[in-house]
Parts: sequence; C-alpha cells; structure tokens
Amino acid sequence: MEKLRTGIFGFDELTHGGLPKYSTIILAGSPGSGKTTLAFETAFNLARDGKRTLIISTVSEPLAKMVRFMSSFSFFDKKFIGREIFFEDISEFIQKEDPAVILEHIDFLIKKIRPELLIIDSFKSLCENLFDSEKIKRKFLYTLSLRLSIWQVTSFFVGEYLLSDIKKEIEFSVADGIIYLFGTEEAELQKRYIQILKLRGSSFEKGKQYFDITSDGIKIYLRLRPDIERIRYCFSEKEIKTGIAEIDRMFGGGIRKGSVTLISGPTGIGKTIFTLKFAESYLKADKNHKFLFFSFEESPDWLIKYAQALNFELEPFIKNNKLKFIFLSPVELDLDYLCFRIMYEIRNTGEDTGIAIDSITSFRYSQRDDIRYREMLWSLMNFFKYSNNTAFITYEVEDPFGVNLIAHEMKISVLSDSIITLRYYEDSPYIKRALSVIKIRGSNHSKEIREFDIVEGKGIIIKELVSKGIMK
Amino acid sequence: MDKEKSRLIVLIKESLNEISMYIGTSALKVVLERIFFDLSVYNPAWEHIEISDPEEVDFSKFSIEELKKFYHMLVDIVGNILGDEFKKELLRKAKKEE
Repeated sequence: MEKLRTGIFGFDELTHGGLPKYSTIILAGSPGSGKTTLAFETAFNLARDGKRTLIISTVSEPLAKMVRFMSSFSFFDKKFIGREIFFEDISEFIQKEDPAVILEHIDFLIKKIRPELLIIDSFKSLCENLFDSEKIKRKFLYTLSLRLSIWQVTSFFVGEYLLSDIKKEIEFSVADGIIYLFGTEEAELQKRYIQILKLRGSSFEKGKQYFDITSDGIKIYLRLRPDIERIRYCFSEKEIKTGIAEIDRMFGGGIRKGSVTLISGPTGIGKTIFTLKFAESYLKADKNHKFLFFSFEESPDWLIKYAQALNFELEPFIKNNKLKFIFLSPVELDLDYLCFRIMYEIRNTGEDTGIAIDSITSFRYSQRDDIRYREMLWSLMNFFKYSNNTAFITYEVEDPFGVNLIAHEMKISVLSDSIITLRYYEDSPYIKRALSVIKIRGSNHSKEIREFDIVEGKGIIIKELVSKGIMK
Repeated sequence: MDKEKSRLIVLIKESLNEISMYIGTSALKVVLERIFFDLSVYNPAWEHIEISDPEEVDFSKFSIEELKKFYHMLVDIVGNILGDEFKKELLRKAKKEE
C-alpha cells in the first residue's frame, strides 16, 4: 500500500513509513493537545513537495485565528497559501443544516483544488452542528469517506474527542485510522503523548509515544524497546589499559573493548572519578577514539575541574573534539527523550565511541514505572552493544556500607559485561574505600577486595588488600 | 467498430460488472463520475455521459486510446479501494485481452 509521508519528526517512523494513502484519519484529543499543529505541519511539509492541501474550518475556531497561531511555527511559509495550501470556511454552509449541501460543497472544492490532503478542523463540531440522528450521520460519513477514497484524497478529521468518545461515536468505526494525542501530569510536569489506536493497511509502533511541540513543530520521540533479536555478546580480544597497573591486573588485563562496564557504589565513593579515568584511558588507547560523557548530575565545568585536580589529561581531547561532555537534566524530561538524545549523539559520533552514563540512577527521576525503566535500560545497553560502543555506566546504591551493591533489582547486571563495585568500610577510627571486580565476561579477573583512595594531583591510588571481612 | 475496440468495451463492461458486485452501484457511480470528470479535460464528451446505470454506459464514441486511459484510471482508483490483489487481477485481465 502506498504511503503518504508527513515529514514530521518521528511520525513517519511511528507509522512505519507514513500514512496509508487515501485513508481517513481522525486526529483526536483534548484542546491544546497538538492536533491542529500536527495537521498543519503535515500540510506545509507536503507543500514543500508541491502537494496540495485543502484545509476546511468548521465552527469551532475562526480560520484567521488558526492561521495566526500557526504562523508562529518555523514550518509556516506564506508563499504556499493559495498555491499549495487552500483554506475554506464552511461555517455558513453548516448553518443551513443540510448534510447534502456540505457534501456537494466539499465535492466542488475537491474537484477544483485536487488536494492530496484534506483537513477538516473541527470535525467534531461539524458533526455536532449537522446531525440530529445517528442514521443521517452514518450516511454522511460513509458517503464522505467513500468519495474521498475515490477522489484519492487522504484526510485528517481533527476533533476534540476524548477516549470515551472513541468508543461511542460512529465516526471512529468509519475511520481508517485513529491517532490520539493527550497530556499527562507527572510529578507537576506536563508531558505530551501520541498514540495510534487504529491504522488500517499499515503496521505501526504500539503504545504511547512521548512528543514535544517546539517552535519547529512536533517532535515525536519513539519509545526505546529492547531489540531482543539483535542482542549480542561480541567478544573483543582488544584490551584498553587504564594506566593503573593494579586495576588492569584486577580486570585480567584491562577493559575489554566493546564491553559495557557497570560501576556501582554509594554516593561520594568515586564512581564519576573512575569513569573520568576510564574516559582518559579510552582516548589515549587510540588516536581515532572519541568519547561521549553524558552527565545527569554534574555540569561539564565541574567534571573538567575534577579531572584537572586529579591530573587526568582530558583537556587536549576536549580541544580536539575527541571528548564531549553532555549535560542532560533528568528531571524535566521524558526518558524516551533522554534515550533519543543519547542515541542521536552516538549515531552522529559514529560506532566505536566510548560512552559514559553518569548515572543511570538519575534516569529514575524521569521514569517512575519500574517495568518501563528496566525496559529502557536494557534497550540502551543493547544499543551500545550493537553499536560497538565501549560503555561505562554508573549506578548509585543507597546504603553506603551495605553489601547489596549490584544493581540486581533492575537486572542490568545481566547485560553488563563487567561489574566493579566500590564501597565504604569501617576501619576504626576511619571510613575507608574498597574496590572489587565482581564480573568480567570471558576473563579470569581478580577476586580481591582492595582499598583505594582518591588523591589530589595523583588520581586513583590502589592500596593493599582488605584483610578484614567487610561483606558481613 | 473494429475488433480491438469491441474487445476493450467488453473488458470494461465485465470489469464494471465485477466491481459493482464488490463496491455496489452507488459507489461505482462516484468512481465513474470522478474518471469522467478527469477525462473531460481532454474530451468534453466524457462529461455528458449518462451514468444512472453504470452497466449501460455507452463507450462506443470514444477512441481506443481514451478507453485504455479510462481502464487504467478505473484500475488505479478501484485498486485503492479494494486493494492491490484486485488491482493486479484487473491488470491481468487487460493483458490477456491484448
């Protein structure tokens, strides 16, 4: 089946290539949910390809007002008006309350303009003002959708419908597609979602997808889901030396290229410092290497200061654009958006890039659903694997002296190739830090627990074995 | 009337008959109305065809080229309504007649 590409960011991926041509799609949602923006943006994108759209306004919002609001978007270009985009106000015809007159007028406009796309906004108002009986409404809908398919017009019927309307209004059984836009309040934040409820003749991404309305229009960030078939455990012989002999020995030689390393530990233990050190090692290992450091907690300025204080040589790599710090706020955004940003940066940098996510615990702030959170972590780690990234992920555990140090609750340890745990222990009258390597896939790693320290001007210092039992 | 034109008209009539069984006479009338509207741009005679009974439409006054054009438009539009398989079937019939 031929498809009509809307050109809207993320939308054509959502519909697996676009909307089936000549279908009737209802854009449903509450006022302000983005329905009209989606319809108008599609019209302007089609206009850029020389395709025509007829936009019919009914009785809910004056046409002039709709156009004025749309003109604030960057996709709006007045040169298309009257050339590829045609407006018509049929409120006068609606007042005559004769469906046959409306059909005749729409027919006349279609014959005259020959649009690729027809938008009727608001379709709900049209129905409310025109029909007293279900029988007449059904006949009107049937005739209209039949005529549109014969005249080879794809149509958007835009309306302020709620989910409850979808079950009872007959236009939803006649429509070939139903796209529902809605908002939710999550921890005082307003988030927008789009969901395809029905799309005849096409597969589509199931479930709700996060989207945003920017000055450029609608941007849909598809849910990241684990791609089970593509999960792979590639085994690289190549090891990256950390520059700290004791750590390399504990790792059984070094950090394996293309692996995912989980660095787990309580607050302040040094997870970020270890990750910065690994970033330096990765960049030094090969002059073609690049590294992306995604930080959700500390600003790039602070991270650079830490690195300087510990004598890590990161500045030359920053200057040569080999190392990039990206600060993302986990609080105000959706997890799908965060994952999209991470994947976007990685795709733009290329395969074989070193990655740090500091920390995945912060992801929690933008996702309160456990299953969704775990699904997202799996997907992201899986993405690192098939993109051949060497990744370092930090995970904060709550109990500073606890032994439950591996992030088992989310099963992320399963997808990690290496796990390092950092912990505090009491050596009266001091609190000391210890390091142990729990897992290195395919390597005979050390089973030792070693004391370590972080010293200004020197960096990470690995000390003697911890002889006393600290895992009781 | 030459043989080729006669065969073409028979093909069109048979196809219209078959299509009406799938989409009904009223929808078929809309299909014809649309095709005649488009073809009238090249030949105004199409605009004045009587379509109250689609099976009784008189195609005899049109050229072979015009009838071929009509058939292809019919296949295209009906294909969009009934799906690709039906479209292929109509095209197969046309090829057989050639």
